Amino acid sequence: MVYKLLCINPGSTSTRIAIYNDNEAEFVKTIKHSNEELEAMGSIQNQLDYRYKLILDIAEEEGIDLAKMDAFVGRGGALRPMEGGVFSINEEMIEDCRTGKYSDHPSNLGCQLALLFANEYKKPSFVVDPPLIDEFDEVARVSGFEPIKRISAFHALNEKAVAHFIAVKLGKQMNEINIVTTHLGSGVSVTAHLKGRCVDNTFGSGGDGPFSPERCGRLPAAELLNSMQKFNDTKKARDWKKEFSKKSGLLSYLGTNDVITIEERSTKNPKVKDVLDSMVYAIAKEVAAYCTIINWDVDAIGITGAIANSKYIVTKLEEYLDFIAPIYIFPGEYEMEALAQGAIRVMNGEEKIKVY
Amino acid sequence: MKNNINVALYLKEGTLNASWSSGNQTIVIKYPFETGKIDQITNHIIDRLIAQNYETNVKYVICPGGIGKPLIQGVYFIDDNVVKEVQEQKWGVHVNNEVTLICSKLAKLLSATAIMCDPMSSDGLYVLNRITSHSDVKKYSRYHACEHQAAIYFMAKKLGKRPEELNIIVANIDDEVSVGAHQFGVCIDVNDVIGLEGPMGFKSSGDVPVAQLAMYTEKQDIDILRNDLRYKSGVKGYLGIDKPEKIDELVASGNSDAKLIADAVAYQTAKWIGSSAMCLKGNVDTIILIGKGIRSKSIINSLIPRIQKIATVECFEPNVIEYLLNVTTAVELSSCKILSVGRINNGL
Repeated sequence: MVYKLLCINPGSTSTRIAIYNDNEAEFVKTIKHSNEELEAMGSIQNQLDYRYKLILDIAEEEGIDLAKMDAFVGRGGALRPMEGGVFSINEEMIEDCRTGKYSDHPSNLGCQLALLFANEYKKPSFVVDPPLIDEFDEVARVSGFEPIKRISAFHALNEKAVAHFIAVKLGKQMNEINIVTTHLGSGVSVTAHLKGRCVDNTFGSGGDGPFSPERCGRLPAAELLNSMQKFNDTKKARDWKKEFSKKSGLLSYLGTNDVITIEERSTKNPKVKDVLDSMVYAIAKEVAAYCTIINWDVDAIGITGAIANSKYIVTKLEEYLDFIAPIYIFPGEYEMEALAQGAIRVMNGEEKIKVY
Repeated sequence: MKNNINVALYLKEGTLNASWSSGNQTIVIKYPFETGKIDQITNHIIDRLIAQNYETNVKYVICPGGIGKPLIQGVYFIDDNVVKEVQEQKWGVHVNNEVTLICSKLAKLLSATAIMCDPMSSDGLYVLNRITSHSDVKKYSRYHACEHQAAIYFMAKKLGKRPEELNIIVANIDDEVSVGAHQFGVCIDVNDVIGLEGPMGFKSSGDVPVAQLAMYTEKQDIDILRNDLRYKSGVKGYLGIDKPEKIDELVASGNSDAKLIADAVAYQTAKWIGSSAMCLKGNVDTIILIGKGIRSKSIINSLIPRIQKIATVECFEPNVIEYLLNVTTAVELSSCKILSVGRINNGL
């Protein structure tokens, strides 16, 4: 049987929707929202009706009969940290997202929108691998400084999707293989998938690991404290924290986070090239580091995200890492596919539906 | 008239070892090290030399150097520039700075030449390893360079090769942990142990998630926090102990926290070894584990399975004193040149 699904992925500046017939995308649309439009509504929660209506309008314009959907799938919601998987949408989940209990994130609208349609058409609704998945081994939580714990935060939906794609390519089940993935976007994360579990990941925006076009990665802690003292008059702790998520990495050195522009500049300016290359080098180092988590017993390395469209960067990463394991490149993002495939797996009975 | 001798100084786990060779005999005297007791320790060593009538026969006094400006790895005169740098400690605080001062003082009193070998600020970093995640925060090469080089020296000897022919990863698991990727004798990547980068050690935190750390400064004074991270974190911060044997005792008694922390030291060290393997493009002849951490079975048994597929793993404590005395011999034979810090403008 072929399942027909409506997948909904609310982001900070857009709502992406897609109709899937099993793994085949029949229709994909990105509805852009202006900042002014969204800000005028106040809270993210206040955008629910607006986004719901937009989806209805698009469906009508495109002649999509929503009654023909077999299920409705939403992205995430900042749900409590827990093991990943496919979850049926329930009231507790809706309440946590409606109140922004764990984080005020646009994806909190994903499960709510899916449930609204599901209730209307009396069909099931799901979320797949929500953003705050936490499958850490306990040892990964230890930071070195007892009051501060390492936490799980990564591009869960996309990296899990890529891990699934690789498993299919290898003709194996997820629980039979070990993979390290890296998502290269405005943020960069590196994740170790041990038999399907994401047992450790770097988290951008001030965690550890490599830096990205605009986010911070690892810094020598004492040197950071020295710099905080040095710049104390102009920058407070909160300013540093903000900088870690928006003004670090390539941007802090080169004044831009646009990798395409930086790549062009790097051909004429060796200093620019060094900074760009050092980001790539740091990513490769981290991928190799994460291979030790799975005892260097690595079936594959997956590279994904928008920056994986850069031939220059991907070629360098391949040169650095091909001595470890076969490398698979999946440029861009696969969030919509991941939503569809997760729902199909549970509807086909290949995976159990989890309850939040 | 007795032959000339050379004196080597090396601080290990709170004990200053002073050693010299005479004929077939190697004398090692041990002195409990306390900061601020430079004169007392120097006089103690001189007394022992006088007791053997060696006080007028010392040619070189050698030690691992402390932390000064970044230097190319090698052997250096401890001149006034070096003394000033380690006294001021502006490049970094470490007990080896005081050992360098003892070395200088001892040499002066004995009319000998003070030299330092592979100072902690030895810097062979590959250019791409110098750039941090944020333009306002610097990366330095500050690590247990002498211990690393001693380990490589003995391993090369065992393999019948020269260090310049080998790619070796050295992990020194001690109060701080340093992991270095040594490409044909040059350490092209290493975590900055003084900057608190890298795996957690017995006392040092190593890496801490930076956003949480920045916010933590709102509730703790930065100077106190920096001190706590350096000397009261890592194993000591979690378990209140800093002896490898004690960890194993706790693990054997079923203490699950001790097991977790031993695993964490191994886990974090393994990650840095993995990174080093990438820096060496996978061409790794040997991984050497050194430092007091290798006495903990809990740590080593957790670490080795994570890294043994990268390369052969060797676990031993290098005899740094012997290494230093061999360096003085090489200096005397002119096969090793002594460099001058003051004249070096290495651009590092």
